[in-house]
Amino acid sequence: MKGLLLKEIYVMFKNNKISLIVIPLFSLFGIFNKQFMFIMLIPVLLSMLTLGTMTYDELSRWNSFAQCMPVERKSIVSSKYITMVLMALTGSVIVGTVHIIQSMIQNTVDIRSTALMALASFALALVVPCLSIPLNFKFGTTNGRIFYLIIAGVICGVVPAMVMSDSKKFTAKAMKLFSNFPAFFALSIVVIIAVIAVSWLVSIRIYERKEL
Amino acid sequence: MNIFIDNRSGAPIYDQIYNQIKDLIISGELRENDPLPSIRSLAKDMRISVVTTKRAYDELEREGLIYTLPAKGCFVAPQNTEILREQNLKKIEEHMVEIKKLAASCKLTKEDIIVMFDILDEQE
Amino acid sequence: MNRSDLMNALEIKDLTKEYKGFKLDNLSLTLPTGCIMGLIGENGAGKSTTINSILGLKKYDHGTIKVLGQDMNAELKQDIGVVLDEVGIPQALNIKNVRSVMKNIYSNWDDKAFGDYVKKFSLPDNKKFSDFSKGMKMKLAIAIALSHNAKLLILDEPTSGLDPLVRDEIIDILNDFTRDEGHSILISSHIVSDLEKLCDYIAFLHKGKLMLCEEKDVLLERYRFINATEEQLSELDPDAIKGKKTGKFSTEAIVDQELIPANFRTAPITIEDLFVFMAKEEN
Repeated sequence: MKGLLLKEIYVMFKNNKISLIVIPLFSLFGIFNKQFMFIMLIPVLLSMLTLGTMTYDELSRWNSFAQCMPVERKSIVSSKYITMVLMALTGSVIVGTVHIIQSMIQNTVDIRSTALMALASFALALVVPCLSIPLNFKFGTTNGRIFYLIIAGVICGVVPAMVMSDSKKFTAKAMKLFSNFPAFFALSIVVIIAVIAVSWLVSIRIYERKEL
Repeated sequence: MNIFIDNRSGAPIYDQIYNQIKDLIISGELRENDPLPSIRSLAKDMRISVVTTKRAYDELEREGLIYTLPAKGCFVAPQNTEILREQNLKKIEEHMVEIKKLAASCKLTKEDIIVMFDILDEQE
Repeated sequence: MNRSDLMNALEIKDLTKEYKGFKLDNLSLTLPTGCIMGLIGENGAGKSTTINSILGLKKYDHGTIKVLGQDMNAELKQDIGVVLDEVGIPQALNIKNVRSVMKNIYSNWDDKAFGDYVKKFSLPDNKKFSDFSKGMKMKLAIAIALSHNAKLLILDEPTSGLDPLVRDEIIDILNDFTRDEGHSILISSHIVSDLEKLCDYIAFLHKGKLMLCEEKDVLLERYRFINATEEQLSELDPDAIKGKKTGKFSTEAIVDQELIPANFRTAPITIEDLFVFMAKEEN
């Protein structure tokens, strides 16, 4: 696994040297900027790097090559998820840090708020990869992207419509949930872990059956 | 030990190896209990197949020319003097045929040859 | 007695794989431990299909394959060095990166050996893999395959794209690999002259079928060229003739020396000649 993780890191950063400059810059910029929201992009960018490596893998014919080495297919899948989660975590730590620093400057320190921001950015960073990684394993990166866009389009179309149609009930439920912060936080974490786990297991199943 | 393989000749490679080692043993260049290169290192050094060198060595062992000590390798077997004697007698006969031919061309008789032989004998 | 003396490095029985327009048909091959087997065949003959099936890259329809006495699994690949014609090292990595990845994948990684091969092949330390020439890519793949104490090497066209000097160097290296009696090699190539120097056994694959599998030296002893008229050829045992080429003035044929009269004048063949003649005869 260590070897696979090393390979993921090399491929990610050697192909995206720019990100090593952009991310610290963004973070610094974010501390002094009133608009906080775009900092939330950082974890998303980082976790998306993992998706990018899948494209590079296909270009390099890495998958057949890896098959000749003493690594199991499930390890190959796992290395992607481990890297992705680590990237998202790193991103959310950056978000949390920037938020705290900003709060200290503005004298509005609120740990809950920071934790919420960090968690939200972590969840945000997971959305695209958890959906895309299995699709890429199944259909390859070019077709996987198409399927992802279709599915994402459907979700973005359907969910807001569902919420809008019953908005009063929905906001009432949401308020009830938010009011109990520790429960909400814990529940969110459980949901996030469940989403990652499902995506992970589905990917393993897909890749183990794939004919290279 | 010098062994040469001729790829172009009709003779099978294992045969060439067998004969050359046999000649080395009979001529005395390889002596009793001298070690032979291992089947594998001989094959690899000469860039030929291990299967072939093994076949040559098996043949040599069958003919009693070499013996194998497990985990130690192959060695030249003590030679049956009868075989050597036969070989040498044959060679002497061949030389004698040559001498006869040459003598005839110089018009020498059998007695002349014997005199020559005695002189050589005395000189030693 | 060493366990490796007892088992074969590779045992393939009745391997069959069919896909559109091609069928690998009941292939059976055995590679004894300590030996080198060459797979010769034209493009599309089934060499890569066979090798991919052995390695588990492709599923096969029917048959059994035992590698080093076991069914193929990931852990077994610790002992297998593989070179395929496409080297799937990530484009952005350089040799230092590759080294640290491989060090952590192979439990028996021999870093010193790898360093020696890198030096021997004059591979550049800081260049990205995508900037390597085809020859350098193959050399790197070979260096990796030889640097983790493998017992079996499986090589699919490892010398394609390499110049004669380098090919010769690699043949020497492969020859040295088998100085250890526990080391075996399965190598496929369409550069037959390379295999002729190196191999103990030769297998001919043609259109998915195994035409023959025999000791190389036996092939060279047993099959010879003769030059004769069509009438003379028709008088011979038909089983003796492995293939022929009819020319303007006479016919050249490859024959089994044991099945023809002793007084025929024969000339030696090369393995390549034998393959070409036999394949043409099959067609």
